[in-house]
Amino acid sequence: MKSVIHRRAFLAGAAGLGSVALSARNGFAQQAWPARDITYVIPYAPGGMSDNISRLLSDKLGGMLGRQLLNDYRAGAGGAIGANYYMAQKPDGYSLLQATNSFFGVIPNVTKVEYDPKTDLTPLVLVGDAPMAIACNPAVPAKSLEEFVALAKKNPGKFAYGTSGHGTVGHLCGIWLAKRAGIEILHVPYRGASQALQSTLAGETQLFFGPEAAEQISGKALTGLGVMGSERWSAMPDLPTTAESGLAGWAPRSWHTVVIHSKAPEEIRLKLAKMLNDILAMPEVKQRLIMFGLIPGFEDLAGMRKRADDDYAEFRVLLVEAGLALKK
Amino acid sequence: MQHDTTYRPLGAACIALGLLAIWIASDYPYGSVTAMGPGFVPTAVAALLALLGALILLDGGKDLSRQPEGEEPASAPADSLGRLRAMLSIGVAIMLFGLAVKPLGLGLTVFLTVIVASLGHPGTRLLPTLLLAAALAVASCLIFVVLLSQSIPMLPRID
Amino acid sequence: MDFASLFSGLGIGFGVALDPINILFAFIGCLVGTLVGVLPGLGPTATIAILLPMTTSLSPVTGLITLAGIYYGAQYGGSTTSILLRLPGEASSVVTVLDGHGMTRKGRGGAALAIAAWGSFFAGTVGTLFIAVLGPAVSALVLKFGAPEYFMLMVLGLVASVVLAQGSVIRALAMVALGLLLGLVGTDPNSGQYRFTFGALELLNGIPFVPLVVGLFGIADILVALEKATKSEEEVRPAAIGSLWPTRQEARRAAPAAARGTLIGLILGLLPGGGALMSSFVAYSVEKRVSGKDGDFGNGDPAGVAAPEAANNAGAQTSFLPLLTLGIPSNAVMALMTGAMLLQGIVPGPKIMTNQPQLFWGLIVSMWIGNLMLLVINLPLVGVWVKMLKIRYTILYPIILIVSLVGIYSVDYSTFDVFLTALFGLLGYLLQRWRCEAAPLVLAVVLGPMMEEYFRRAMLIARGDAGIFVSRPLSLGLLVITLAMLASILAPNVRRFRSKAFQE
Repeated sequence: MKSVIHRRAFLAGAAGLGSVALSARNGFAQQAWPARDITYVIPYAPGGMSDNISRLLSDKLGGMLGRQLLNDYRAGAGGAIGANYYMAQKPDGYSLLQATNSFFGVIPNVTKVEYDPKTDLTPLVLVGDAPMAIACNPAVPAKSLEEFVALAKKNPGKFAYGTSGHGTVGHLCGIWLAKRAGIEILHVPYRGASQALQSTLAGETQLFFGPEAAEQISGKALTGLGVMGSERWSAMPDLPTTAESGLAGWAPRSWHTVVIHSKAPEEIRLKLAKMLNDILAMPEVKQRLIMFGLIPGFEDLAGMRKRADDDYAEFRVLLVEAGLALKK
Repeated sequence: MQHDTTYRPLGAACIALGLLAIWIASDYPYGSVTAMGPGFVPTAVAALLALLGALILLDGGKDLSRQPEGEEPASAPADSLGRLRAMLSIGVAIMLFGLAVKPLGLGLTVFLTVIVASLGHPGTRLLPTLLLAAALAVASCLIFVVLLSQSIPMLPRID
Repeated sequence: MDFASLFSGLGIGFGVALDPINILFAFIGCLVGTLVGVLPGLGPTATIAILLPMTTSLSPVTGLITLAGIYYGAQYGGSTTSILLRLPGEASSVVTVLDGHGMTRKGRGGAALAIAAWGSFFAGTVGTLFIAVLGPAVSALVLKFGAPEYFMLMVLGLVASVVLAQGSVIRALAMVALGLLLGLVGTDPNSGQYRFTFGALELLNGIPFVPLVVGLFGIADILVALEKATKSEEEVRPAAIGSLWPTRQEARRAAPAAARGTLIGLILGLLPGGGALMSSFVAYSVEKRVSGKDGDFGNGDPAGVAAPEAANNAGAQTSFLPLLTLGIPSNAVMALMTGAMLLQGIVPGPKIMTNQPQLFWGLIVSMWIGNLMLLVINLPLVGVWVKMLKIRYTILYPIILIVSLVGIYSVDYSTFDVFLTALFGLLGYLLQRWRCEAAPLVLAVVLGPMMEEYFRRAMLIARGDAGIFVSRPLSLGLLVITLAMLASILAPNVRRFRSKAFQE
């Protein structure tokens, strides 16, 4: 039984891969969608946020469609390998990509990828925003972002922020804050958010950006200075936004979405967006997402497109500043 | 104790690899000891490798003669035909596996890989090899695809 | 922590862990983990990832107990193939190959497996007690380890890897240099620069580990064996299998080694970012130093199996601590456990011990039960595994090849990884011909990039002041140990050179 499923999944995937094989597959597309199981590409290793989200969504969506969603993990190169793999799938509505805004804002700006973020990929729904909390080592005598900025102005270069690597959203938060607040802070890249968070806990670095710090902020191991953007985080309503602290406008952000080929049939795209939005509106799903540390929200297809395009342009400015952007 | 001659290719290979890596790394910003660029460590390590290669050459294999003879002596003159046969069969088998697994599926690929790999051993007999190839083809599909749900195709693509 | 609360905690824990359902799932987890862990490529991370969905329908405690069982089982399964087939599935079992396979060649494969099982069980028991008694207090120590300390630890590990080598020191050093170079392949974490990637996206995260070790050890071994087979008619197979049990003499060598290995594993396992991995290497080097001339390392010394296996397992225990007490996953497996907890509705972190005592203590006690299961499962299996060695080589080597290739392919479904395996197989073959050892190379591949990373990070944090390495007591202490070790390696060689120079 299972073998049959896997062969089907393979057919779905393989069809797009071989250029020779494209012609013979039209027969399937005529039938009512979905006529077979759907490949769900996860561009990261199992265990991370994307994996958790995909596990949550694939059950529900599979149930609604009466088909299985087959998770296909293609990790590597910060997601670029998974995205390229997804692009190699046939755009017939039988494959989905679990993604973050990095696939629109960061990856295409720093890595040579085989897709155009504006025309090839469509973000279907807003799964949730990952609030970029700003957390500070308690040894630093600052209780708010304003106080920290004032302190940093007096001590240029004294404070460092730990991130999960070059060109990550955390890094770009640091560049953005330095630029907008007119301060000089040192970037210290780590391998992964947990190492960076640990460095801030230990005082090796002073600042950390990301949702991972929530537990430590509420446990008072770190001081919460605020949250990036213009909307407060419902789980930590005491954290003021950077907009409230006087830094209005677009701020680096992180959000999760489900992506489909822009060339997939329109009715499938609309149907999937509707189904996924229905799933995301379920109370138990919302509750789970909140527990993952996300802020559930809603955005229609046009809103999602705007988010993607805005992030491409805004992140590019910061990446150019960091010397990481690809030359165009 | 026989004289060791392996130091020559080893030393030469270390020097060649080291120099090649230095050349490639010359594209990366070098920086300084206190503010290293991405090119600093690669250049230093590659230089170290080349240096050690030179030392190995200079030492002329004496480093081994100081050691008690290991259980793998540099042994009888190798049968170069036999060596070629072993290398070719295993090398081709691995390449074949990599290239065939997507289009041909796991079952057929494993079957063919086993047959090619078996050619490397002079004691291989036809019938046991065929049986083994078939058994492994079935077993690997069962274990990896059915039980462990790896998304590897089992059967050839039919279009 | 006072003893009253410790006992009440353990009481809660045994209450949870001795629930028949939990025992059953601990058993299933260990069994599945062992069986899958035997396949190269499918180490603990992959196995847990595959089986994660099946545990979400269980209660949180049962689910985590199952996953923990898989973790131990898979860890142990890797040792089995290292000992019998010279096929390490992951970094921590590379060092078990040296003497584990050495014992197999002497016909003591069964004893090696038994020593590994008992050593692991001992380490697991001590590790569990350690976590229960000292855990919360010790976990604060993790935060004392900054970039300079990690850098010094890596240097120490690298020096220790030269001690691993049997033959020529200069060749071992060359292997370390080659390994460091290979380790640099990929994206430089400090600048984002791609190095030695030759335009391959597959290499951006560095050289994939499984193809490297399977090529260097497993494939290279097949090539050497085949070459021997064509040369002479001698049958390439290990010596006849003697008793499956360790002799009194072997046990006497193994027991103190396991104790020392456990201690090393306990401490290093706490450190996220390479600690657990290094524990087996460091434990082996320490044994070799301690034994001096008594040891027969590289040719099947039981101490060379017991120490790294015990260290490895002790480290596997303590690596849970940073996750449970600080909310920081210390390695990929722990990151998966975090995911599993989140899926179950549990947020791992400092509050877990007070908010979820059932879970915390249940997990701790089931760690011990898991180790017991491992022993129960593996001792009878030793006989089965050893029978594999009786298979004719013409049948055995295609099996090894296929299991390796499918395992490697299923890590990332990457043809590139399969080709890399062939390349590293060739490299491993050449190294064997040239009388070089692969173990220092593999360790350098793993440690090299971390070393550079920590060094540059330390300089960054110290704003370019190299004094940071000696001004911090922990870092200074590690530096002193490293220098002492280096001196003890180099001294005999220097002396020999000098005496030779005088003769000429």
